[in-house]
Amino acid sequence: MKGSFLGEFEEVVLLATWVLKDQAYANTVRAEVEKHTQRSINLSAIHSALYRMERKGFLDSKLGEASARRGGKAKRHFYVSNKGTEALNEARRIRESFWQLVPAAPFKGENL
Amino acid sequence: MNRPPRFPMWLLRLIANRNIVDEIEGDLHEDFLDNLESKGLSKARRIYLWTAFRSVRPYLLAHKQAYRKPKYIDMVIYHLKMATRHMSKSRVFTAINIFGLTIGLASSLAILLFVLDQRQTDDFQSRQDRIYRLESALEREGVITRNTYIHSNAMPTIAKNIPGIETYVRMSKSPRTLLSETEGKQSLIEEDFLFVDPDFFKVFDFEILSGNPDKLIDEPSSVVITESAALRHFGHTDVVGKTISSNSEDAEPRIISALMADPPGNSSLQFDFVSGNAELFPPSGHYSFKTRFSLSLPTYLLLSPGTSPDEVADKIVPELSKHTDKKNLVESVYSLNSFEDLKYDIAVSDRLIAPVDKRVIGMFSIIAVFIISLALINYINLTSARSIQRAHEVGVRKVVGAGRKTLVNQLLTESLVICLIALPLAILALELIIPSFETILERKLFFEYRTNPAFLAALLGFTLLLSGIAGLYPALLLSRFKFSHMMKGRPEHGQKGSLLRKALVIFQFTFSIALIICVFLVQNQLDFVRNKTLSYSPEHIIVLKGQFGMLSKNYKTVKAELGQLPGVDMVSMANSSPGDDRFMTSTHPKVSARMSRYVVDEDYLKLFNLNMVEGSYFNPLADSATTHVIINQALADVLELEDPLYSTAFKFHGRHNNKIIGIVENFHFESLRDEIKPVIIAPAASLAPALTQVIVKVENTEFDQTIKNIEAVWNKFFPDVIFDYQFLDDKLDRLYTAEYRLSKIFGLFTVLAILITCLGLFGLSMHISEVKLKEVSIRKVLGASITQIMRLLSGQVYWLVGIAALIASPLAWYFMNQWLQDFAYKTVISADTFVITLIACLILATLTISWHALKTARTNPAETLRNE
Repeated sequence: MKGSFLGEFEEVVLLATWVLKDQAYANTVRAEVEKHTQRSINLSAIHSALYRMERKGFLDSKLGEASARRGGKAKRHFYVSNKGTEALNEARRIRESFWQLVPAAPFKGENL
Repeated sequence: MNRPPRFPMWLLRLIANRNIVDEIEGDLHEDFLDNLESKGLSKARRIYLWTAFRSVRPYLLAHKQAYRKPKYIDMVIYHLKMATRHMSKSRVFTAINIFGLTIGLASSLAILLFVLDQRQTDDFQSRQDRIYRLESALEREGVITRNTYIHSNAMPTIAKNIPGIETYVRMSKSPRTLLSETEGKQSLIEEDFLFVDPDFFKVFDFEILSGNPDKLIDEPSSVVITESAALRHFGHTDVVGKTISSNSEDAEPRIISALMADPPGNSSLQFDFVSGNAELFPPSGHYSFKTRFSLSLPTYLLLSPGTSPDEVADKIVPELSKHTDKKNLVESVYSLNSFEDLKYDIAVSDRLIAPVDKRVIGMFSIIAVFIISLALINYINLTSARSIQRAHEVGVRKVVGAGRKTLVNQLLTESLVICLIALPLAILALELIIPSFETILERKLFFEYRTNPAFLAALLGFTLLLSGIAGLYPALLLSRFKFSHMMKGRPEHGQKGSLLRKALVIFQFTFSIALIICVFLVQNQLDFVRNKTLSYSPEHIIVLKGQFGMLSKNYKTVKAELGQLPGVDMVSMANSSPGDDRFMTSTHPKVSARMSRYVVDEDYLKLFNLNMVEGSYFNPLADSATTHVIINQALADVLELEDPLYSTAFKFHGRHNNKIIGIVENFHFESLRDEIKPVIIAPAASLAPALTQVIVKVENTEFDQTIKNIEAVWNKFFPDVIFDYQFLDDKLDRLYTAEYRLSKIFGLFTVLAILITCLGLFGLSMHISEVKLKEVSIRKVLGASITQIMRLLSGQVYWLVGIAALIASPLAWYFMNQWLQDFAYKTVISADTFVITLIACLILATLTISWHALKTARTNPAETLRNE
């Protein structure tokens, strides 16, 4: 099922959107993702992921209010849809089922 | 400046969905402000640009849901739909507009192609800016005569001593008759030979296809053949090394040393063969300055880069005087004229380059602009006049919420559609016009506009501009209407609007009338030069052209035999006939530098009906008197001899014992552009080899049979000289080719201008008739007669035409007066031309408008008033 598969970046963006609840739009999502991943991300990458996932149905959106800070342009708020929640759960389930099988200390000197 | 740059988003909007760009822009804007605080302006700008650049992604283009579809696409579709509906509703007006624009565009394009052609002449010559033509000028009695023919020995002698001259080419062009054998059949073909110095191909860029490019014409008998000539003679182009022979037996066959591509269509040098010019010179290789006979050739110089032509020209006389003291050589003023300017230099000719009058190009451009504006005016007038009828439509639109901008856009779309329909039609029409246009111009148009993307793009751009100009005024007019006025059914019937329309109609008629007058006046002048000034009827005179020396021995026998043929009235032998450009440089201080010398036999003056003013004509019995000469009145006037008859005071070309036995009246043998030149007439016996032309006056019957008889006699005497005859009227017309061309082109564009103007008038009258239909009906009910109604409907037009004529006449008079200045002998501009033109225009206008006026005047009032 190709449509429901989440890429790594997509997953992070989706999680950030979920966390932000009502405040999720491109800029806040980026800030959240940057905060958690500790890496710098271009805004257009966030846009791309958001719009793509909206097309796939993982996200819903609605137009929000405009402000001077945005040059008078309205912002688009994103919400994680049911399908998005399912996809996140599914991704988590897959990972955890793998983690179950990994031995407790796979690498020497590393503390997991 | 703490705003993000605007253009990235502007660019994005062009390609992408507007709504998405809005969202992105908002996000970017916010990000920009954040960065501005934390990272500074320049970094923030850089990030903004980079992000905007990276935002070009497929999702921008996704027209996903309805809310993301841009509105303007709907509007464009809507406008297009309205435009087509409107066009099909009033078909006649649409047709008039499209037709007018098509004609206007097509004729302007034709002219544009001609002008572009002229501008591109010789573009391919890479050394154009360093090539100069050497000219000498002689001053006599205050008149400066420019001369492009330079003594053939001058350049070779002095070139090596003047720094800056890289090389020079002496050229001359003349026809040679070649014997061609294809499929066993012999035929004679006349080809244009360019005789040149060996460095020709180093000065001018012509493409050599095969053969050794270094040694093209070093050998006296070697020639370079052009591709098309090779095909004519051999049928293929594998011809290097072959020989080609001429029709006279004593000439050696020529060896083809190279094959070159035909001179491009935009080359001002046109020829079929290039040959070394050795055969023009005597066996010794050159004419020295001392010999009595010399050869003068047009001479072209290639200067080394950075050399000033004036400096070189200044050094010529000092250098020349070291070698010769010949007066006309060292007293001349020499100048170097840039090759780039020669194509426009109509003052002198070297018979190599056919120059074009710059004024003609200017005039053509003006005509092109005017014709296209006539068509534009039609559109503007008809659309703005009819806008009143669309008042209701506009009113409803305004109620529904259309803003001014929407209305303007709608009308601009309409004009755009009309123009875009007219454009392909115009190109189609252009294709139809071009052949006849080329016939008039007597040259092929060279510029390939079909394959030139820049030209086509410019054409499209121009059409868009045109539609903008055409649509703007009606659009502004219509969108200005006030809703309340419209709903009352009586929109402001702007006085201004109808005034403007009248002014534009006057402009159209002014231009058309001026053109008509010009055509008439050019025609008048041509009739004048053709008929009024000649003492003989050129249509009955045939000129046979022979070669130098051909007639020297047997001219009397040939003459007697030709004279006996039925249908032949009179025969004369001479070195020239009217229409030749034959002159010699006078050495007499008082006589203008260009004078003519005719060598003629005893029947010449009688054949041309010329009368003696004084003295007697050559006596056939005593023509041994080779020292006798006859001069014309012009020469007698400048010589100012007290007793000219039997005077021996006039010496020319080293002949000291000339005896003037008569003075003949002035006669026009050359173009009427020039004053009558001094002429000296010498008897045939004094210089028999110079007799090269046989002039035959024929009777009015059975030309064909007579010509056949003459040809038979010719072939009997001169089997290997081509029988080349020409009627004198054709030959004389050739003197005025430029003028005939002008009159034809004027005629053509006048017809087009009148057509467009009348179309506009037709449309306007139709509109007026429609608008005034009810008024007319009421008047009829009240008892007005058809005449009165006709006067009501058409009276205004006569005023407009009258005013236009008043403006046009002085304009046309002024321009034609300027043009006539070129002629030394000119017709009088008479008032009747103007009157006739005015009457003709009034009649034309009447015919144009009366169709609708009559139709309206004759409608039954009951039908139009039934619903009131």
